[in-house]
Amino acid sequence: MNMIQVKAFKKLGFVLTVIASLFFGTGVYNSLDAAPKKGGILKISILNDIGGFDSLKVPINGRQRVFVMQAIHETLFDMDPNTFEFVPRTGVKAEALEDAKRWRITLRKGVKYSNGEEMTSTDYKAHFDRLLGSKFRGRFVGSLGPKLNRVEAPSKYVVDFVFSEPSPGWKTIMTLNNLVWWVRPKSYLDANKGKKSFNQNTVGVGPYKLKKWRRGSLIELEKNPHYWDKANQHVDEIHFKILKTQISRLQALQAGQADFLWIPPMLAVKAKKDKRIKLMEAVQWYGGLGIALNTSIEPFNDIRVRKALIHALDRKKLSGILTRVYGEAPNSLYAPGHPWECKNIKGYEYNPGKAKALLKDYGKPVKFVLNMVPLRSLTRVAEAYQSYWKEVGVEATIKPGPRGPQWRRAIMAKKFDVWWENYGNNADPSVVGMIFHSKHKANRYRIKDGAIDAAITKVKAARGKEARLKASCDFQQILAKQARFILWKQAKINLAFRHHVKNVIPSNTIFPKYQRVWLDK
Amino acid sequence: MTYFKYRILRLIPVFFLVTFASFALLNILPGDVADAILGGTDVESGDSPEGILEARLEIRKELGLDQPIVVRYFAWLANVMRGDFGESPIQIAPVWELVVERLPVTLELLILSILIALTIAIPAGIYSAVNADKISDRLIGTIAFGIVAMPPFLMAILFVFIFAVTLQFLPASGYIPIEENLFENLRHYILPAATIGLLEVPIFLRVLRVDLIATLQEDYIALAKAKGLSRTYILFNHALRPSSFTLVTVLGLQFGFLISGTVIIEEMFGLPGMGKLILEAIDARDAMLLQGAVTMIALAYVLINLIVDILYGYIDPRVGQSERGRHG
Repeated sequence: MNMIQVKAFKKLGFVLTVIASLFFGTGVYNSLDAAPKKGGILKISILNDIGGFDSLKVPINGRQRVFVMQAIHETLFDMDPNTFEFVPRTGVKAEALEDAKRWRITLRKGVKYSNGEEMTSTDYKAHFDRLLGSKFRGRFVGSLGPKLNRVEAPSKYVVDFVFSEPSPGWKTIMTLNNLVWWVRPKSYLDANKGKKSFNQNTVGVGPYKLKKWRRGSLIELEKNPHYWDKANQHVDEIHFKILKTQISRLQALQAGQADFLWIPPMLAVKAKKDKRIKLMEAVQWYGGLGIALNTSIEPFNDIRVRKALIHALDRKKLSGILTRVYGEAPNSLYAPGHPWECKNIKGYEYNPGKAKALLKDYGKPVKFVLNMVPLRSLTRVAEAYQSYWKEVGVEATIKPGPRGPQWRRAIMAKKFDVWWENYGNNADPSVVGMIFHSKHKANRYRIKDGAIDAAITKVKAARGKEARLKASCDFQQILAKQARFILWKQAKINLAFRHHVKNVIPSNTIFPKYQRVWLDK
Repeated sequence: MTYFKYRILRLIPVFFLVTFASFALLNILPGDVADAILGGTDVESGDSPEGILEARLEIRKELGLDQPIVVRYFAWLANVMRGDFGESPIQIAPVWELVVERLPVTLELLILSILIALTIAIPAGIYSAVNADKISDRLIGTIAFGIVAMPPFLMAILFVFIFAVTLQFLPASGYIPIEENLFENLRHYILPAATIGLLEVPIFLRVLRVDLIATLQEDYIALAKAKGLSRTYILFNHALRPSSFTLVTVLGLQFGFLISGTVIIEEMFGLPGMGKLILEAIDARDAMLLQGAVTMIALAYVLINLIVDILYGYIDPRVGQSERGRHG
């Protein structure tokens, strides 16, 4: 065989490989899976129990809780993870009225709850009246972006959401399956809300309903017989086994006792080595993780110090070594692949020389206490930062804790000046970074900056995708330029599943849409 | 009967001491159940510091957490005297119901663990004692020390890796109630019970070995041998019972300790038992639930020791007589 023939064979091989990958999929997504199969039990392992089904008794939007609840309830709209187009679900039409201060939603007719009742606008009104009239009103309203005032029901299948300021991103917010959207029939609320068992069960319009709840151990869901979209209801049952340790969850998957898991990045590295498991990584609708600063006090009120702190860190290298996730160090709150990603946000590169010069120019010693979530993986990152900062003459002390909810409370109560931060939901520019505004009640960074306030005003005022993206990116650029945070990495979601699990959708949110999968056993 | 009354009366100070101590200790920890109810507050959620503090104060008032600790303790005690253990504000269920749900899971785990431990420890202990200081005895001792040195979580991971992940003939985790399916229930218990059981083997083995070696040197054993009784007969009919005294004591203590000491194993194998419940209660600062669980464990502990005392009487009838003599 001469060289020309060899080259020809190589070319042919390449073409065949491309054709084969087009037909059989690349292994990244299961979008080319064969026709869906019905039946079977999908087994999922979750870390914590759900506490209950009533959002007023359990006002927590915990990740594990949402895993279960999103199969029982369904959102008004969904978003195609590939095209970012809105997909009507239990809502068929969304109109922005009065400059997006009123959103009119037309409900799909004939959608039924698992108890057989039809879903109507009265249910939405009763549900939101209950939430907004509770002591957790602030939390519920807060999770909905710009302030929701009330919900009206002008006709049987039309719901109006009325806001005190424009809410241009409302359609996106409606795609998030979280505790404010777990609507139940008004008659069900009226008949059951006074009962002790109210928190123990629920009804929803989602594809599954509660079959059994063995507290601390197992939650079993079965098909909702009245589900409106039977073509997208595949497995017979979904079983959630509660396993509190991550390693036990992975072992359950390896042993075939779980089919599908959300796993943290470090466990994904282990799972990658197991041929029985497939992995998928998706963009998480959550802002970056990193260090937040109280920029109203010394030395952080001086931009030279803030810039020096970033220049001192080789964030890209550290991220690769410590998380085994290689890529550019983030400078904005949107991850690559996010529909609102800003491609050219300029931050401050690794340059210890510049850091030293800036600190010299500042002229005073820089010392601070970094308050950390007491997690070993994050403490390792902080320790690495500490050593990099030491190289340029900055003295940082790491203080772990307190644990759990007290950590959050300390942040909310503005107890810290430097702390590990999770920048929260970044589904839409109308919610991202709004707390950086000088007048925002939750502005724990204590920022008072005219440029930032003006940028936020522009984000709020912008209409149309292009204008909104530009305003949002301008805002992100100002935050990066002013070095208002030290981002460590962007949040990603890692899904691990057995090969027989098909139609795994790379969810936009932190919640994989496992209620859509089918099993090919 | 008086003897048993005396044992039960001893429960009263134990009960007060244990419940008040746990109540006080939970209060020393930072934060309270109101924080857990409010849970994670996402940075972008718009929860204002003022708003969250207001909600927290309201929850604290609703639950009576604004009262002094002594007032709360006696209020709880008064309710317990009426048979009301209260409701867990986190699990949103009666404490009694939660404890009754979880206790059998742990009890079954412990019974199976102890059975596995005794099944291995008794023959191995006897063999070691009979062959004291021989190579086989030293080998058993070395293995036993090796097991003791191994942390429970490591043994659990190892077992799961071998029997569930690699060989795939036992479940890696989970729990099936006994009333649902006995066979599956036992299958799910094998690995956790074996993990705890194996860790108990060295303790039981060493205790039995030492006692048995001492017993075998007693004069009455020499007499039995002189009478021409077989070695096996002497071992099982004359030596083993008096040598079990320490074993039974340790057994009782270990059983009591393990009721709340199986946290790691319960967590790793997904068993919804008492250890896991206590951990959840501490994590959420759920004093009501913790008190209920602690009370139940204190009761179980005393009950187990009562059973051990009864067993003493069976092993050595002189014990019962002397106790009866002392307490009427």
